Amino acid sequence: VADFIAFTAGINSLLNNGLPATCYFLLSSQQIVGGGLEAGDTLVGGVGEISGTGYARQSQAEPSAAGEQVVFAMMSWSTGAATDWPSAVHSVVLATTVDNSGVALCAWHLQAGGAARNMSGANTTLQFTPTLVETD
Amino acid sequence: MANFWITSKTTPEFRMQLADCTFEHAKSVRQTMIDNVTDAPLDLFIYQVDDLYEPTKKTLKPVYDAKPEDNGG
Repeated sequence: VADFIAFTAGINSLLNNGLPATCYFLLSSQQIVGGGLEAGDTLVGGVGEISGTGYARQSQAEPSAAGEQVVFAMMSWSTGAATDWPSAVHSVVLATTVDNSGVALCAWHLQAGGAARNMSGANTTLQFTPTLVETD
Repeated sequence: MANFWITSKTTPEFRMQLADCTFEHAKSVRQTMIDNVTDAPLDLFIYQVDDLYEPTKKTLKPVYDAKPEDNGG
């Protein structure tokens, strides 16, 4: 099972424009698998973004590449007192916009193999540090 | 309902953005972060922001500045 996918539209966007100055990260209930997150998926077509009290896409400035990789800052999503977040969150998707007008660039599984994180309980925190690595 | 940032003055890259929720909920999230996040900054503050993704200093409004040990939850 692949734990990372670059969407076709995302690859084209990266080739044309590079990373956006501000990168937006959303949580997805979908795994990177056929029938889930696939290469042809688009932001406007839907990538399984979750919802829940207080949930929002997290943003951060494009980091500088070093050593042929881009390491983003660690991000946290916490439920606080809310219990209406999904019980199965599988992936983080990098998007170019805060809404669905932009491009979904790529996605990572939260855990190796696509195992779900249960975010339906109160006082639950998810932390993730996305990394893009140059490969030949 | 409002938008909030929970972030640190000393470690501004550490933050969580919260959309369309109450201040009470933001306080519960702040406490969860303090409880759960390893090495969370000790000076986590809650700011109400007009624009969740483009908060300027003019729109960044601190609404909670208690020290963690004084947190009212």
